[in-house]
Amino acid sequence: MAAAAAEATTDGGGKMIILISADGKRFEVTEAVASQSQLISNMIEDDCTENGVRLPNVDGDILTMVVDYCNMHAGDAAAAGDTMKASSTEEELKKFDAELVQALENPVLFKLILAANFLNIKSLLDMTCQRVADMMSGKTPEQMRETFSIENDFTPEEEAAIRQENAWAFDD
Amino acid sequence: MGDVVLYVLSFIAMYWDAIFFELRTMDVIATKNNKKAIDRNPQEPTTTLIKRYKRRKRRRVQHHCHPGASSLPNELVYEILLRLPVKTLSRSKSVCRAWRATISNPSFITTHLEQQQQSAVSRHEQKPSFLITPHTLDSMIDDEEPWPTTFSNIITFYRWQETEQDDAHLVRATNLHGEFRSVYGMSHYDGLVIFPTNTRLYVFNPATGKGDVLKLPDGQKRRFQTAGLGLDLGTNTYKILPDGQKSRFQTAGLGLDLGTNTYKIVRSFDRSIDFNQWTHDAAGMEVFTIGNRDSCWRTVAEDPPYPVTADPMYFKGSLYWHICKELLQEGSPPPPQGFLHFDLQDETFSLVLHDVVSPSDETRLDLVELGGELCLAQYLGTEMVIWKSSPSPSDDISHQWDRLYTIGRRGMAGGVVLGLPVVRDLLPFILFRAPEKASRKMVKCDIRMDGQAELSAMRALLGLVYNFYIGSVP
Repeated sequence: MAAAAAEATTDGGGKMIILISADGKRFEVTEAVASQSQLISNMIEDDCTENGVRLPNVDGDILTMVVDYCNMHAGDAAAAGDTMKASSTEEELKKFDAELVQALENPVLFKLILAANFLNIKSLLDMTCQRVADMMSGKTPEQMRETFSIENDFTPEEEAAIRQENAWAFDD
Repeated sequence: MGDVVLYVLSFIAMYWDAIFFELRTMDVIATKNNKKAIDRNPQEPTTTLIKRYKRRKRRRVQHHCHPGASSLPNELVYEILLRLPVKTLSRSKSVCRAWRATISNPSFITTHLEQQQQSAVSRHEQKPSFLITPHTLDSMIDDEEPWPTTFSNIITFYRWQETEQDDAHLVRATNLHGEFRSVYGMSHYDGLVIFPTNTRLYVFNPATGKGDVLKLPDGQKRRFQTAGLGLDLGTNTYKILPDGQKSRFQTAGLGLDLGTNTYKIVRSFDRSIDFNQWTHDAAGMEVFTIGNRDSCWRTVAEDPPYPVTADPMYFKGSLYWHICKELLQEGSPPPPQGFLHFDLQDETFSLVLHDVVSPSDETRLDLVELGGELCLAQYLGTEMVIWKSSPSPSDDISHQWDRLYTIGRRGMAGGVVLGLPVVRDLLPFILFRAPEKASRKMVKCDIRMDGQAELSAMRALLGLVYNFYIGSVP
């Protein structure tokens, strides 16, 4: 599916780049799409994308999402690029972004954040971090610890004191 | 070396925690001004601090977190925490020590503010929000001149957001049970409110829960009687209290020291004052730094060159006072036409001059901040003129003033201008009391529209509204 999306942009021109995920899946994308990743953009500049770009930190499932995202957002990045993609309205992009992260469970969302951070795609990192932040509102500290796999290192007295100080934040 | 500094910083942070309840939380909820202040201070090594801080915290956190499949490195947790709304953030403090330390760090707080504002701008959904503190009277004594002594000890704070229905809602109410009789000019900054009364000076942080009233210790004021000057709302002029009604009229201001990123409260005092002669010698200034260990007033090394009066205004790391002509020694040369500028960082004085009116003109002029610029508001009978300053390239104190807006008769509608114009994102509007005496209504005037709208929800205020003060909050 990602591969198909990538092909759709080939007519728009530009060199193609192959991205290879940790589990060996290959994605062919235009330079314009790929260079939304600052990491890959630097590699393109340094001319070391000839034999494909190996991304040992990113699983195929996650890379599929990243490539989908980059294809969809290529319009902003490449002004002179593919007209069909560039014509995605802001509204469509918002909808796409919302749908991309909406259904994701935390472990997957975290993997997507790690991928966005590793590939250095700022807009995707912003969006995914914001999503986690949105999901945290209304959660109790216990639920937050669970989400982030954090151990409670306060003594019960300390915790009670902190809660007391922040009492206003606990009444909903 | 850097680590030592950081240890000291985090120690101070802990100390604050214990003494000053949630000062940091209120930093977080503080206004845009804070961000501006940081932006405008290129010397502030905020980014380096954050980076170093993050590095240190990361090491520390490693002990506490399971390296589970779903855990994120701390730099990414930091990114997520930056995006939390204030309430969730406060709750997150009790997740673990590392989170608490991160969230309480001043550099995190400033970065969080910036982040929140950016996302608000990008989402276009957050309307400007303001904190309104009315002065209310328990009863109205007719012709009590010039300043009432029947102020309510129930202090209320309303939050008002510029939305369709112009709705202001009560954030909190605190009862101080007869601790004071009179309240003087309040100042708002970053969601904090200083509240000078005839007995003590209070600092409120209305966004936090119970016990958030900081009662400042007595300073120099015990040594003297402060000049009694009151704002006469009928004529919009300041006047001296008649003999026999002298009170300790405090003039105090609140602002952010951009050098140390701390809040300072600055209050003027007179070393001696002769109420019969209306002369004084050597006015002084004293500073109280919020969060400082010794929590006491410190007299500023330099004395102000002129006596000051009325509520000072904060702008970009400095406070600006009105010069009190009435208290100058007889026979001394007339003061320059302008305001006394006090730099909160190096604690020095200078003057900001204007030639908007002729020296003999008694028109009330106030400095205001409009859209991030220093402006002058000139109150004329039927209109208000806003002047914008552009500093002269040759020196700091001469400013050129250009007429920016004139708000006409229609916008004023006979109301009394109370709060200073409050502006955010170039959306200037003025709030004022409706013309009827002791009215419970407040009126909003949008400068762009030259129109007005009523804040209907404010009718529900407790007691009689005498005056009110307003500041923007994020």
